[in-house]
Order: sequence, then structure tokens, then C-alpha cells
Amino acid sequence: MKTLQELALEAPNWSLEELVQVANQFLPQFLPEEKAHTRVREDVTPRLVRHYASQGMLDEPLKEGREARYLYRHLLQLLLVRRLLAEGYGASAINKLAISKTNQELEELLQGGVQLTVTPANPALAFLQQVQQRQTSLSKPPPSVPAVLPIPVSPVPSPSPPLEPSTSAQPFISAKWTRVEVLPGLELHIRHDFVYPSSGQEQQSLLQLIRQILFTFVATRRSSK
Amino acid sequence: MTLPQIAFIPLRPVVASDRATTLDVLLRITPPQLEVQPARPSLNLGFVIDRSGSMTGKKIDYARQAVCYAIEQLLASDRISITIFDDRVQPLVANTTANNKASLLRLVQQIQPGGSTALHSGWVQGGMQTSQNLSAQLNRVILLSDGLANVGETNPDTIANDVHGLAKRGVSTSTMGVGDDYDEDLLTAMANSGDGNYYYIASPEQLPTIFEQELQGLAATLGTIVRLNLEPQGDVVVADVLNDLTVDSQGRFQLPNLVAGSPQEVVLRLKVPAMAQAGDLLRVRLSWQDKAKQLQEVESSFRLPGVPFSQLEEFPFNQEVQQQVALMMTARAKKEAVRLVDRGEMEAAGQVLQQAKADILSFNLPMSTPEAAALDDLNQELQQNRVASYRKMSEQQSYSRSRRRSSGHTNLRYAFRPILGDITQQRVDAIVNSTDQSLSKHGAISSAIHQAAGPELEVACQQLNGCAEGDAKATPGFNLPAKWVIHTVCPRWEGGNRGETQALAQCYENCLTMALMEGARSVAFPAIGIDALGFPVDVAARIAFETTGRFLFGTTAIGQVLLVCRDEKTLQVYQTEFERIAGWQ
Repeated sequence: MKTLQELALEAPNWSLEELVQVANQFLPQFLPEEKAHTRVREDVTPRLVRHYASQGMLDEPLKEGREARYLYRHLLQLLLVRRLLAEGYGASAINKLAISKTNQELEELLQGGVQLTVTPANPALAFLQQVQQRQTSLSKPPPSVPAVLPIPVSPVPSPSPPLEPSTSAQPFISAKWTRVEVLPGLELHIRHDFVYPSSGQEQQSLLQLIRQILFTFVATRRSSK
Repeated sequence: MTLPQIAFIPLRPVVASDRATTLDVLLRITPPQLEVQPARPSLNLGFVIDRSGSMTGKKIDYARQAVCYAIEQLLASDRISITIFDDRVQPLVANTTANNKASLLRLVQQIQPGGSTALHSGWVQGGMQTSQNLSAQLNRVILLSDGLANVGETNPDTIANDVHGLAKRGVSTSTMGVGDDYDEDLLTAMANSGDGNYYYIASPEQLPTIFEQELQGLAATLGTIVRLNLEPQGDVVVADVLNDLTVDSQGRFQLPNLVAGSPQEVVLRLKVPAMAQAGDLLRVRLSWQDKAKQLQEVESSFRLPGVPFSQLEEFPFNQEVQQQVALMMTARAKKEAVRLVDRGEMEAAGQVLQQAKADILSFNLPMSTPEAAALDDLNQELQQNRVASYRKMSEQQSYSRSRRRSSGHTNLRYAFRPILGDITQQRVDAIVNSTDQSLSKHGAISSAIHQAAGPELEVACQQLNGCAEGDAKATPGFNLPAKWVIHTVCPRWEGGNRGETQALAQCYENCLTMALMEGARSVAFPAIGIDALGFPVDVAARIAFETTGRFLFGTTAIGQVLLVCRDEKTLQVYQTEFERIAGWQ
């Protein structure tokens, strides 16, 4: 089967029936796996597409004479709407989401690109961590008083933090990491709030990303030797 | 939300049809007013407080007080973190909701000054704290320092770059410099690239007021990451943008945040070809991120009729545009003078300031007097060789005018002040009379004014058909030195629960509006509301200055306002209240 990107290059111009057919081909790889048995697992129908469009969840189709025509963008929107419905979002929550995004954003949302390659979950924090690492590697940094709460590695009862506000919700950098040994010499560290990709396509993207990072790392290590 | 308005105000209302001309255009961007009950954006503030050894004494006292003030203003749903740094960085309060104010305040009170200044690391830690939770509509790091960054990263470019990077990811940065020993270039650069504000706080007493201002500004912020795109049409060329604005990678000008009640004015110099037919000269696109973090955009364009070049002179200059151009030029002169000082050419710098003063005075504009006073102050600092404070004053003045607050007064100290004297003798364009609803000549102030103006004033007043509380009406000044008398009616103080303060604020606002409409450039107020009307003097003074201050921040058509007190005791109270707001930036 073609990938989305290949399809985009063809600049398709579908009738409603054709759109429905393509969408049903593509849908399985974008739906969360564990939702295999729910109602939204069912195929898309022309009636549903018209319904979504009338609700403003998809762009209006183009008109050629009396016939409605659909583009690649409509496909992306349709896939995203179905995916979100399958994940349990209500129609009101989805609302204008799909029509407000660019094609690239839609692709990224579908393929998990946004979370995995372009922007980390908290871009601001990730950016500052980079800055901090840069500083640390540049010179001996000013001795930073360890953040009031050290990252808990083992359940040694740490002295209770000196601040009272800390008893309120998540006041500190309280990242919890789990270490998983993949092979001797290779570990994965997973933060407690990491969201594991739910669709096949997203999992593919993640694995690809890991392969890419590992590959680049190994390559640079070889060249530096 | 209604959209910001874009207005084009040309220096002349026409262009030449038969040859090329240069035309200055004032681009005024007016953010919409907030609704009556503004839903202010939720805030997530990261305070980063320098507690290096030099902060000892008054500075740290006022810094503590300022942070405490900020904590008290926050809603329980807002978020706050406090990071303190000297050569070590310590997150005093990690990012948390502001619902346990008592313990937050207690922690702030314990801040003690220590070693040297790891400014960058402090900022990074404060940024990280703020970034812990980005669910608020506005996320801002507020950094306060009095010293040079001397530990860790110290390269201003690198620091500004980091600040910019964080701003792009949704956390802006404002900076406050206290005293005369910090690096104003660094703190200005951080605020500019951080999509925030920069403040120069000459004396620590102003700290709480500045915090108040920053918080009020945040609460009224409607748009961040504001960009202006200029698209000259046909053969029109944008020869110059007189404001000092940073241009981004896509050629767009970076403007300050859109804040309700704070219009922005950008002055453009266009080269216009012969316009045989009227056509669009310029299109502009203004884009910003709204409270919901959605990108918004408005477009506007303008055209002018063409007349033969020989007739051009018949169309007078627009004074507003002329004045704004002059003010931008003065700001440039101030920057030039700083450059000269940096090269050690003190004498040349002094000459530049003198020349700028002569220029602005020769235009004879409403802002000529206050601007000349500002230039005098700069020159004096320079002559006495106080370079550190000269540089800060100067940079702050040109920063305010050409970047942050492009429209209106930028420095209240030169715009108005309380004085001791007799209201009837003031040589200003308009004086204000505090009177009753039938505009009678009774009452202390009114009788003095009527006596000095002569009987014609009473006749003129009788024709006005009375005046409602809080309103203002104008008559000629007759025998007074002032051209106009603006009459206003303030209610009696009944304990403060009957809207007295709002009514008094309205009096000031409506008098100033009336003065604006009559074309008065200078106005003298008596101390309205005290004595017989029974307002507590400090309350009356506070309303007088806050209302007038806010008004002057929005207009430069009135250059000077005096508050005339009749006795020394009143003056003292007015002076104290004035000092509180004189540091507004």
C-alpha cells in the first residue's frame, strides 16, 4: 500500500465513494490497537463523511458541477476525526480541530510525529534542559544547590521538603524514571508520564526514531575513535 | 474578542501626482478595550530574584516587598515559582498554585542577600520552574537583578538567544534592573528577545509600583508574539521605520505585547512615486497569538489622493504625526549620544543632546517642554560624569519611546507634578475649576477663579445649563492667564462606599478629555475633593495621579499637567503619592 506522502504527491481528486474507499484502506494503521472492537472500528460510509462535513469537522468538499470532490486534505481530516473518535473523544471536543490544522500538522498528528520528532511534550522545558546541558559541558557550572527535592532513585525516605506549598499538587520537578535493560549495555529510561504510542503507525515512527538516534550515535562514536 | 484597530495617519493628507515625494505615516495600533469585567488571562509567573551581596539593605527589602505584593495579587488558580540566586541558584518555591499564600509570603520574608551574580543560571532555573506547568494563558519569568552577570554564562548574545528560544516556546521574560550597577544592555536585550518588558528602577522604593505595573500589564494582555508585516504597493518604498524594532527572520517587525488601553505607534517614512492615480500605498498585516494561543491576523491598507506638487504646501502637516516623528528622532539622538559616550567622546555626546533639545523646542509641540526637560536631565548626568546612571536613564528613555510604549508620555516625571501655588495664576492653556452642579461661584476654588476671571465667567457658566457629577464643561478664561476654564463637579465624600472615588477619577478623566478637545497643551488642576468635600487627602491625591498618569500614557497631545496645592501640608501628601507613580514606565 502507498504511504500518505506518496498519496499526497499524486494530488488526488476523489469522488465521495473514492474517498471512502481510500480512507477505509488507510484507517486500520492509524487507529489505536486496543480499540479493535468498538463501534468506530467500523468502516467509514459516505453518509458519515457528509455528516462530519455538515458538523464542520471536515472542510466542505469542492464542487465540480453538481458533484462533490475531495482532496488529500479531506482524507487527512477524515482519518484524524475517526482516530480521535476511536480514542473516545466526543464530537464536540473534536469540533474544528481538523479544519484548523495544516496538512503537515495533520500528518504529524496521525503519525505521531508531533510528539516524537518535532516537539517534545513540553518544548519549553526540553529547551532549557538543552541550555543547561550546554552550560554544564562548557565549564564547571556554578554549584547549583540541588533542586529542593532530589530525584527519588530509591525509596529511601528523604527528609520532608522544607516548604509547605510542596504538599499541593506536583510542586516540584518530580520526574520518576523507570530503567529497562534491553540488552547488556543498552538501557531504556522511561519517564512516568511518557505516553506510549497507541496506533501502529505511531509505534512505527517511534521505532524508526530510536533506530535513527542509535544509528547516529554509534556512527559518531565510531568516527571519534 | 474584537480586533485591534489599525489607523494610518499621514503627515499630509495628500501625495503629489506629478513627482516623487517622501511621506511620513503614523501607524496606530489600538488594542480593543477590555470588557467591563475583564476575564484576565490565567498567569504562571516565575520570579527570579538576585540576592547577591550588593542587594543588601533597602534593595532586598523592597524586592521582598514587591514579590509579596505580587503574591497577594495572584488568584488561587494562578501559578508561581520563586528562584533566588547569587553565585548559587536555589529554587525557593517550586512551581505551585498560588493557593497557600501565607506560607509563600513567609518564605519570601526569609530571603537574605549572599554572594555574586549567576544571572544566566538563575534565569534558566526560573524558566524551568515556570515551564513545569504551561497550562496558564500567560507564562512569564520576571528577573530582578542589580548586578553584572559574573558567574556562569555571561555572553549577552548567548543569553538573549536563550531567552528568545524560550519565548518561542511559550514562556516570555521581563527584566528589572535596580540601581546603577547592572548591565542595561543585557537586561534590555533579554526583555526584547523575551517578548517581555524592561524596567530601570533607579531607587528601590519604586520596586513595588513597578511590580504592580507589570502585573496590571499582564492582566490586560490580549496578544503576545506580535508581528507587523509591511508590504509597500507598486513603486512605493519603505525608506525607514523610525521606531527601534527588531526584525525577525521573515522580515517582520517585532512589536510589544498587545495590551488593552495601550495603543502603539509605528512611524514609517515612505518614498512615494508620482501618483497620477490614487492607489494603495501600503498594506500592513498584524499578527499575534491570542489568549487561547491561536494565531490571529488583521490586514489593512491605505491610499491618499494625489494633487499637483505645486499645491502640496496648501495641506498643513498633521501635528500628531509631526510630534511623533520628532520624538522618534529625539530617541535616536539619545542612542547616538550613548554610542559616543561609549567611545569616550563625552563632548560630542553633550552636543548631540543640546542639538536634540534645540530641535524639539523649535518645533513648539506639546511634548517640546517635557522632552527638553528629559534631555536636560540626561545632559546634567553626563556633565557630572555619572556615566552609569546617565546610560541607564538614556537607554530607558529611548527604549520606552521607540520600542515599548511608542504612544503617549513615557516618563511621567517630565509630564506632570504637584506644585504649591494659586490655581488662578497658572500660565497654562487651561485651568480646572472644582464647582457644584449649577456651576455657581460658591465654594473655595470656584469663588477664587470667578473673582480672578471677572463677571463674564459667571454669565458663561449660566449658559451651560449645569453640569452632572463627574462631568466637565469648558468656558473661556476671560481675565485669567489661562485661555480656558474647565469646570467639573466632584461629589461629597460619604465614607467611600458610594462610588466617590470613581466619580473623582471621572472628573479628572473628563477634564483632560475636554482639554484635549479644546486643544489645550497644558492643564492645571486644583486638589479636587479635599477640604469642604471631605475626601481624605491621600485618597484624593492617589486618584488624581493614577488617573492623570494613565491618561498621559495614552496621549502626547497634552504636554504638561500641574497639580496646584494651596498649602504646604497638602503638597506633602500629593508629593508622596506622586513619587509612588512617578516611576511608572
